Amino acid sequence: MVALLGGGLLCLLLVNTILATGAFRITALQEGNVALTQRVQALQAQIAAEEAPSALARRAQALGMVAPPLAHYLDLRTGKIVSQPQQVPGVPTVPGYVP
Amino acid sequence: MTAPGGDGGSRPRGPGRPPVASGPRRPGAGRPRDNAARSRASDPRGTRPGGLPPGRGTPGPGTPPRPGRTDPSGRPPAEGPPGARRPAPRRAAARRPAPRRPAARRRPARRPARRPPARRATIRRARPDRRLQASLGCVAIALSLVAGRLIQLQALEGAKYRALAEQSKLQVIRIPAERGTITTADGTILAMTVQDDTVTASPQQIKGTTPQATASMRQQVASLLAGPLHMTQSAILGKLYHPSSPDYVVLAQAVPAATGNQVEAILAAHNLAGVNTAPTYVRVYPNGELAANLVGFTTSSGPGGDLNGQAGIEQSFNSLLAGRDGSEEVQTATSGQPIPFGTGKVRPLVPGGDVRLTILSALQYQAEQACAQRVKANKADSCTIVVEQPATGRILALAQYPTYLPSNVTSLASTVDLPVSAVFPPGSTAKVITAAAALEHGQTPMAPYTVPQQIVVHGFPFRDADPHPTERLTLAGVLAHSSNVGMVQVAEHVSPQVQYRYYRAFGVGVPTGLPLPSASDGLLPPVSQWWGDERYTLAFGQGVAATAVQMAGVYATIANGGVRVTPSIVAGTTGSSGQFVPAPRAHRQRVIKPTTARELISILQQVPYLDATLAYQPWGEIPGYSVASKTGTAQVWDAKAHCLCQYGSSYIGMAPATHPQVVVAVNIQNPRKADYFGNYVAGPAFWQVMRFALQALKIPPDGGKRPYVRLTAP
Repeated sequence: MVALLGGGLLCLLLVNTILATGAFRITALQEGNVALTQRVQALQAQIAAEEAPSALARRAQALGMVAPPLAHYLDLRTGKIVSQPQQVPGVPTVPGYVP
Repeated sequence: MTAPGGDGGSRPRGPGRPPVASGPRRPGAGRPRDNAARSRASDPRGTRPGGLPPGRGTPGPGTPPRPGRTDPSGRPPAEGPPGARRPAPRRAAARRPAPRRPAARRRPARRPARRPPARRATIRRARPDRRLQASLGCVAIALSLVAGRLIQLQALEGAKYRALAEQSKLQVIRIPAERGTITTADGTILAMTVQDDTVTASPQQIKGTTPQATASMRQQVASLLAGPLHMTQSAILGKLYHPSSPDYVVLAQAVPAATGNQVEAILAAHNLAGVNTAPTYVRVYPNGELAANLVGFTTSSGPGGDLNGQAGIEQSFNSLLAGRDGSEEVQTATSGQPIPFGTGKVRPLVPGGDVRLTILSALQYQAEQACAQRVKANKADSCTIVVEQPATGRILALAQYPTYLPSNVTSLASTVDLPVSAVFPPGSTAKVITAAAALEHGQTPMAPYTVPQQIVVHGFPFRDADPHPTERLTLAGVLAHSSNVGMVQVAEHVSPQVQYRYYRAFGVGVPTGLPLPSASDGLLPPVSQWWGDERYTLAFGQGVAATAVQMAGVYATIANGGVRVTPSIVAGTTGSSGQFVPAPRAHRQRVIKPTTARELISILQQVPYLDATLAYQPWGEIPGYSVASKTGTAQVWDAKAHCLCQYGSSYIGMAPATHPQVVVAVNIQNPRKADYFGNYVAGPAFWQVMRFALQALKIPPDGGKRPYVRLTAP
């Protein structure tokens, strides 16, 4: 009888200890989770800022790039380029246009 | 303790009572009940020797030992003479202190030393009141111990335990839902939520035993935190000595999470308490001004820093974006650890939903750039550009200038979404509405008109913007040359009711259906309120006001073969389930016949050519593509000067004209630099945005052939 009671108490103590340990572990993991979430969000915001069209345009211009005046289209049935290259100079075709 | 009384009655004893060696026991003296109990317990097998009186459990002398019998101690039956079993004498000795009283009375002489009869009588029954008193005393002593402990806990150490209880009481932890994102159709994030830290201090915890110790501790905190928080030491000290409330002061807000962790590490390393970091949610707009007029902005309020949308999508989709905060009731220990198996009432949070717009970020950026450039070049007040896909009603760009930074709103006036809320007289761009009504009510594109420089109709004079000799123009020519005088005559063929109906069918004066908080319906008075020349001014877009989105919708309807698709700005939403829910299919309604739409497009295809050849403004000329467009220059009421002396310049067009897939509508208000004509002021923005849109949407060129339309009449 005493052994049963003692054993029961010990088991209860063990269970409580394990639960308490679990609670500490959960708290520690949650803190870690918050830190990781913050890191992910900070990186996402950074990526989004770098991906912004304005940022891309600025960096492309810094590299000396210019926007293509017109895209060329190839008609697969005829095998001909639909847009005529001579119509597509490297600078805006419209006279008087100052960007 | 046995109850006193029962004088003379036999006192039952345990079953193993040994036989009394001297003299036979009177069977009649024992209670039958007791005897039965005794016999049951002592004789489990029920084999009772006949000669024994009931109740004699233990074999007496002369009784043979029963085979297989075990005594209570578990030993095997001892071998030996009957009655010489070892346990018997021992038990007899053990039981002797409480023998039956009658026996004791009867035989006082035999055991005088063991049981003084007088003493036993005193305790047992003679003085029950004293026994009561004695037990009362015991109870009183026990109760006074309890009471003493109570006083110790409640009164002497009460404050200490109250404080402990205060710390370990039930806490409701708020689990904030993260506000969802707003993205463009191509996934560019326009608005998102990040967590950063708010660093707070509790000055009462940064306190030593002496004022000197306190000062040195606070100085240490200030010197350690000044670097990471980018604050001066004196600023930190000032906050510690002059906190906003006795035990709380915010040291720094919107601290990056990394810095917050650094602060925690520094404080832990120096074993300092009293400075805490708490995560807070902040709305960030990684694209800055991009589509800011559409996205809107948020303000934070309340102790938890709840974000509330104040304009645009942030406002109209506030509840979806915000989600719903959850909460959890936990019992926490003094250390702040939640106690497992606490009461734990949990209200689950609903995460914030996401909104995906129909906007294309690159196109939006180009449109905003073009707007900014035109406003600066023309010293204009504002510019709006709407790019719409006619077949779906999707708005691909909704640009304006000036715009604002949603993360730094300085004035509410700057946050107005001009393309949906600012109304302006559309001017010549609205001529297509009256022309469409006329074409469906008996007129043809070839219908001839005589167009002088000025005309007086029903007493109202009208004139064309550019001086010209009297011409003979077809209806197509009137529209392509944008003659007010001609349109006044065209309007004569359309009744006011029909004209009003066409305006509304094209979407002017009716709600746009866009889920934007400040969207305007435009201003189109009902026919009963028309006065004077309204019928004629409506023919060239004066006396009515529309938004940029509504005017884009007029041309999208024509571009879509006469079927108006209600414009949409939201492609879909992602709710708490995580599933993307596309926006419901846009409402479609036929406004004009396909043939009318085709005729109008053919006429509008003449405009870029006329602009380029007659006015040297080739903003509708895009190599490889046929463009149908219309310019407009409207007179705008100047509220300060009280006259129609401001101008609004428009350029709206579609491409490729053979199968229009994109409509670009540009409107610039109050250009003050030089010219105010639509082609000159707004044309360049149209050209830039349309050219980019054709590329970005990968629309192949259609060859750019212009159909022949006769503009002059014989």
